[in-house]
Amino acid sequence: MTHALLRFAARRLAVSLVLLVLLSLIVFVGMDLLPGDPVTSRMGDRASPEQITAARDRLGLDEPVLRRYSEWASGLLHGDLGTSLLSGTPVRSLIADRLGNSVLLAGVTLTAVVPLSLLLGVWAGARRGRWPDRTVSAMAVLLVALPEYVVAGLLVLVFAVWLGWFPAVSVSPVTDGPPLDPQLLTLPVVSLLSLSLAHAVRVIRAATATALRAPHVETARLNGASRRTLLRRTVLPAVLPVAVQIWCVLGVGLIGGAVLVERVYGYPGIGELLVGSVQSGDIPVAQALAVLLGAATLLAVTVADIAVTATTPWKRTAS
Amino acid sequence: MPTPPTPFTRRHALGLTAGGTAALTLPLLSGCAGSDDASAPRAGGDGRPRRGGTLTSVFTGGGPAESLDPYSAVSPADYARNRVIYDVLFWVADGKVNAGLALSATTAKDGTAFTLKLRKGVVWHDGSPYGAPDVVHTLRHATSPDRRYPSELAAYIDAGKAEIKDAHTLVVPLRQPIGDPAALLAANQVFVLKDGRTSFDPGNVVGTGPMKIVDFAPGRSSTLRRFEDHWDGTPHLDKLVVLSVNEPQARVNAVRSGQADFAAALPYTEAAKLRSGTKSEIQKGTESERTGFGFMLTANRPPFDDPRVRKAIRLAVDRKALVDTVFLGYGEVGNDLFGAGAPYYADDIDPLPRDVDRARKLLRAAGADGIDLTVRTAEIETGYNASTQLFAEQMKDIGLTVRPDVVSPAEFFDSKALASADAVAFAIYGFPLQIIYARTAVNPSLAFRDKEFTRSLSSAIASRDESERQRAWRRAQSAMHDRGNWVVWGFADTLNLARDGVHGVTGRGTAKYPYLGKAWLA
Repeated sequence: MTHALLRFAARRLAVSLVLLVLLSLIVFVGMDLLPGDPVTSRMGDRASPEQITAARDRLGLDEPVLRRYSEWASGLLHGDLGTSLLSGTPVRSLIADRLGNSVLLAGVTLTAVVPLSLLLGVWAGARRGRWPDRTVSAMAVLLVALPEYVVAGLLVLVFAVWLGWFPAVSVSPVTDGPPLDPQLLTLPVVSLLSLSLAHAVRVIRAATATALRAPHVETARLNGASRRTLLRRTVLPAVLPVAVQIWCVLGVGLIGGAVLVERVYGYPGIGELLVGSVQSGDIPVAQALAVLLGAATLLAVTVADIAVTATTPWKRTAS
Repeated sequence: MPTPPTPFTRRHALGLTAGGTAALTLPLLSGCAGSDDASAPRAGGDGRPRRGGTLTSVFTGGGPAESLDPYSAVSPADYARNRVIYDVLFWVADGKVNAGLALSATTAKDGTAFTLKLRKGVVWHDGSPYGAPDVVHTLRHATSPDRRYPSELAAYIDAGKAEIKDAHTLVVPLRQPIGDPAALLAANQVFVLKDGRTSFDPGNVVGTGPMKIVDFAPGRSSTLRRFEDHWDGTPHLDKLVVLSVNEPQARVNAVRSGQADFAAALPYTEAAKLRSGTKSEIQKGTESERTGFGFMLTANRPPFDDPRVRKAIRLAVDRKALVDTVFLGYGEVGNDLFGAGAPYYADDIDPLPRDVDRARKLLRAAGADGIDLTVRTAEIETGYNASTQLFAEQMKDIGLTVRPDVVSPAEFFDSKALASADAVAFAIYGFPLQIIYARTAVNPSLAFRDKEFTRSLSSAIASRDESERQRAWRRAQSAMHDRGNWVVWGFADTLNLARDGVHGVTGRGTAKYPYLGKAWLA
């Protein structure tokens, strides 16, 4: 690794760190501005205004926002994510319980997305305007246009309710650990795959098509380079940096953004936890998840940028 | 254009809604889940409950915050589980208070305390005997001021000063005179904990209920096994599985695909979609397990400080249209009184027939012609927002402009905002009336301040005499119906979905998270 690359990585990480601090402030203050709180949401219909005021006081909800932010942020630095206002459970254990499931679901999906999107994207891009390209592109557009819950709903109807091949909900009476049973994972993974694969294929197909039109590729082709050589030597190096970026962003999106699929299959992931905590006004849980997912996105983008720099010769050596 | 009055009684309405229901789903609707425990289980084969099998049930969960502490329950899955692990002191069903781990609760003549007689011969899951120290511990745990959220019971009893008289008798001081403490304890679902237990790790949980906990993964699933020595007879099921699934459609899919046997809280839209021949049936809660839906008018300031304006609203509301649209016919029109099915509920008071002309006249007389109103609503229960929208449309018929103020459930009960609305959407379950009347008056702006009503209410709550209570409740409800601030337009059914062969599921007062302790599989 060159010095230039190291300098780039360090600079990129520093910028991410500043962004993360800003993000945490925006998340904290933004959540704080949301109307409603867990006190009224939990006991509103049975507590007098005095009891509600007392409970708010006990939970420290009326302290100035910046003081609460600084306490919360210093807790974050020590790995303390706070306590759920609704259940009194440490936020860390609430998230830990679900994060593993979400990472598993995202991981399995991404493992399938990476090779499939590369194969399909390059295959279609290399045959621009011909039937393979048209078929793949049309399918991708169709899948991108279809809302996730429609795909998931159809899959569950056909494969669980009608055919009975897979369970309709991805929870089973197991004691602990993520739902490793492939039976339980299949339908959620296929649902997530359809959308993310379509996105990735469209991007990779476009990058491939563009790369093939580049003058140096044209020259290589006129020089008699075989199709395989062309793809390996010229197209892949151009496409991979783009592909890595889309995979990284998709990966993080799959962890926190699978809420619709989680709901349709009752899969115990963090997407639903995030939505639920916002709905019930359980601010500490929502704040912790938002910052965590924000940090993961920043990290993914940073890693992708560094990876692009490392795989692009002129960037790698530029000072 | 004035709409002609459409007089109809509750009985007419019942017939009408039953007709509507039939059109949608008759092939599927079974009698119901049994009118309650008293009813014979519907028969498969010889009709006698069979022993054995595993019942897999699906409920809305509470995520990773689910707990085995019955006083920290956050979701229907928690309640369903707690109801079979623990037993309650009393429970209400079909307008009657039933004895659980307590046999009777009698208030002393001076109204300062009540004597609680407990059931004998009850054992805990660990084999130790149950008695008065357990109940004292339970009451103290439930009403402790250190709790994150205060218990409603704490306003009524002083558990800290409860006194044990003998192994199965205790005296509990009251903070205010309560004539029927058993109903109060039943309404609060007092799940009895073993003396000294304050931690609820799965390995540590002991109840007296029909099922023992085996596995517990919060927000996902739990497995329970039959407790052979249950005081109310050995349970029929070998095992009970409770799965937490939040999406109603997913719960339906779980039953239809055979993954689960029973799904709670079926939305009306799902019920209407289901066709017969799917090897599953919709089980309907009893009439006493319906949820009252309505609006509470802010009666401490104009325009609703004038009883004529309140009456005009109640005359103008089209109850039947609301029941048909919001409940898709799964329910009954309301008579402006919450608490259908509860003891002392005035079932014989008919709903006001719609009379738009009279409503307009009343408005004109009160000088409230053409006024603008805001109604605060949030989707706390499915139907709040839809009913408010339809209500706003209906009020156009009497020249009122109603603006629905739709907010999120988390902010709905903000007391300042509640007070600033002219009316709020409200729904409440068929609890004992004392709970309903206490809860609906908790926010000062929503309380009904009427001399006769207030006097009758306090004597209904405090009286030790059954017939006096009956009369006082009647007076209070007549006053509320005559000039009160409730517009209770309907009572919603609770629907559950069960596979063929699931029997003995009863509401025990709350069909939303039914009691599975007597369930059996054919």
